[in-house]
Amino acid sequence: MPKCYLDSNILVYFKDESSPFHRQVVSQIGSLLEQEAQFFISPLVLDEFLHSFKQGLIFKYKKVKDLPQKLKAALTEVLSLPKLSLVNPPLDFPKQLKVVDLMSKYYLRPRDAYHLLTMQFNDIDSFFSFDNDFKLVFAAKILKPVISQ
Amino acid sequence: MCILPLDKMCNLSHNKFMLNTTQLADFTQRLVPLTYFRRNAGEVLDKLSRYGNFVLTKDGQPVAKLSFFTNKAVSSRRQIEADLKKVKKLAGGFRLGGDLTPEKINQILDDRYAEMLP
Repeated sequence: MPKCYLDSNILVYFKDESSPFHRQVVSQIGSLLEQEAQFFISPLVLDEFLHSFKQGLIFKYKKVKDLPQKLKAALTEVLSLPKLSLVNPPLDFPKQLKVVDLMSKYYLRPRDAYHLLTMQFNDIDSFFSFDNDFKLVFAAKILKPVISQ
Repeated sequence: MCILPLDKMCNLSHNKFMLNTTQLADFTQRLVPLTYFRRNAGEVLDKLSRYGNFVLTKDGQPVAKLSFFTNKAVSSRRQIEADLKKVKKLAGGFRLGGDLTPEKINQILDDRYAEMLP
C-alpha cells in the first residue's frame, strides 16, 4: 500500500479545471486509489496551496468577490479527498537541523527540505509533484516519484 | 452485541470469566446444538450475518465455530469505486485560466519569501 505525499501544485491542479495538468492529476489520484494508496499532506502544503490558489484567483479575476469563501470552499473539497491524512514534521529541536543537511545535499529550498523531512519522518515513500526541484532526491532513491520527472 | 470475543467465551467452562446477565444471554443465543444446526441449517445461516458467529455444541460442549464469511475483495472494490466517484465529484470547480505552471507556482511562493526579506 503506497504512502503518497501530495504537493501543493497537485492540490491546485486538482481544483483548477482550466489547468492543462488537471486531467492528469485527477486520473493519477484515481490510479493511486486503485492501488489502495494513502495520501498525506502537511500544514506547509496547505499554506502553499492557499497562497498559490489565492494568487491564481487574483491573476484571473483581478478583484475577487468573496475570496475567503472561495478559498474555504476549495480547501474543504481538498480536505475531503478519500484516504487523506495530515502529517507534521518532527517537533524535536535536533531534527530541525537536518533540514539544513537536506538543503545542501539535494540543493533544495528550505521549504522543500521541510517537505522532505516531513516525508522521511512519517515513512512516506512516494511523492506526487510537478516540481522539478526534487530531481536529486528521486535520483538518490530517497523517494519514488509518482510521475516520471 | 458481542461483549466478549468468542475465544474468551469458549473458555467459560474453565471458570476463567464471570459473565453478567446480559453477556450470558448474548452468549446463550450464540450457542447452537449440532443437532439443531443439522435440522435448521438455513435458519442458522440466515441469522449468521446479524450475529457474526455461532458456537456449535455437542453434548453441551463447544465443538466448532461458525463465522459469517465476508468477501474482502468485493468490499474493497466497492470502497475503491465509491472513492473514485467521490474524487470526480470533488475535482475542479474553479477556472484559474490555465497559466499556473509548476514553475509559476514556485515563483509565487518564492516571491512571498522575498517580500519579507529586508
